Amino acid sequence: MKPEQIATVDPFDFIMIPTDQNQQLQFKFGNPLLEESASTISKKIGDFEGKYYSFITSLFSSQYRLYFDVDNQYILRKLTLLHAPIIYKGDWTLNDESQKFSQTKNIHSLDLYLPLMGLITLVLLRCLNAAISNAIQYTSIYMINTFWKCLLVSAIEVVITRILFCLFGNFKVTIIDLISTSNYKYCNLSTLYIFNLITFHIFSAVATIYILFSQAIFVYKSSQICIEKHDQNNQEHENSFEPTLAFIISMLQITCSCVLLYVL
Amino acid sequence: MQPLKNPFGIMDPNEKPKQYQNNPFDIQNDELNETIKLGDNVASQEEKQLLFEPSKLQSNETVEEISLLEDLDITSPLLIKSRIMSVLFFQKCDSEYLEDPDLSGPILIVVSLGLLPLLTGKVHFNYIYGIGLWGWLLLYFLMNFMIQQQEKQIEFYKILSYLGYGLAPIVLLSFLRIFLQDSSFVYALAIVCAIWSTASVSKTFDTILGLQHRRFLIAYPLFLFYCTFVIITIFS
Repeated sequence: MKPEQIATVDPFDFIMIPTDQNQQLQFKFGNPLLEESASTISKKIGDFEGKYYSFITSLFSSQYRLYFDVDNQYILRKLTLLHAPIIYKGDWTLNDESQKFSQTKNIHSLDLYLPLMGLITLVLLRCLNAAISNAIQYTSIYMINTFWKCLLVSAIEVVITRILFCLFGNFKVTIIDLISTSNYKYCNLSTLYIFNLITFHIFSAVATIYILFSQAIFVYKSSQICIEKHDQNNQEHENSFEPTLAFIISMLQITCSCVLLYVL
Repeated sequence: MQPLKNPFGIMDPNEKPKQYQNNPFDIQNDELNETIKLGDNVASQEEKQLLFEPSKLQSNETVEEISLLEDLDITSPLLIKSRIMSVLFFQKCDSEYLEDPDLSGPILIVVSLGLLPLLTGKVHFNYIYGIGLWGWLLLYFLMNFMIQQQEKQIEFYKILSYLGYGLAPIVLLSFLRIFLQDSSFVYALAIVCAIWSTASVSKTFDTILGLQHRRFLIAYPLFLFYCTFVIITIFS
């Protein structure tokens, strides 16, 4: 629709909005229907904001925060446990259910801080080594590809582990516990990588065998935390598949570590 | 002999020019046959003097003019500069920055980090922004989960601001990388810049969150975050 032109000398007057159109615009913006829809939208945005904040607050105060409730001492002891599990003899199971979420009190409890840091450290170490040796041209793409390969292998391992637990009749294990238990291997692999870089791969074979053996023992003993315990009254129905399940999971862990060493 | 007629009229050297006889700002009222002179409606003599002798204006009576940027509550370049200097030289941060950080400085730093490699023919905007975004999200969740025991929470934009200002040493490294080639000196400089960024930002987080026995647990993910940018800057 062409704007109405006011009869003036200025040839550029058609750009100016005529007075009657001004009145039309004022009527449009002062339209009560438009104001009502604007207030409805702002109310919905306010409701969404409130729900978002309540969701964030509930997320950060949920049980997932306990997987990050770590301190310096716990990290050092856990790293020692990961690299030398033979030192810690005896039963690794928790005496009390509350100890499952008490990282600072019990070293055998599960966390997500170490697996996450181990994964990122391994990816960066791999990229750094490849970049220094000029083995790759595009470091950024290599970094992203390495990260996704590790995530894919971890996801497959967690799915297989979950299926194994279901097959053995244990349905109470949570995915977060499985993710935590199965991804501690990244700390071991990072240590192996650093050792190989320092020693110029002289003791690579020995170090690899030791790391895989440590992982197997750690997963074998840690998976007992996830395996459901039967009642002490029903000792005749004691689960005889418990050591078998733990053994299979530890073998699966070694397999996945070997896949990662081959793929990366 | 008649004197030559000046086209502007007969000029009397003693006569002042007409245009200076009356003040041009005087208002002539022909109906009432009067002239309202400038300063007639001014009550005090002091203000009248100021009108006619502006040189007597004292310096402390100048009207305060707020710049448009300050009026719009946009952080001034001086403030951004002071915050970048506090990161680079480990100076004490002003409490205003800790409580209400800004995003204009980090945006400037991130854009510089993307533009500087262009001088060497490298385009890394997508990787810098993508990895920065994911790293920011991971650090947001990690820190909020770790500090939840103390019943504290840190917002999205605050973490983005602190991380953004921490990239200042990386920008410096990116600038020096234009002139330096691959060598052990460059690698050492890269490590120093990563540690530099980590130390300054972890100090900020330690001040805000008051973490006890966890400072290194916060510093390590920050170190990994800045190492990512260092690797992209040095090796890509």
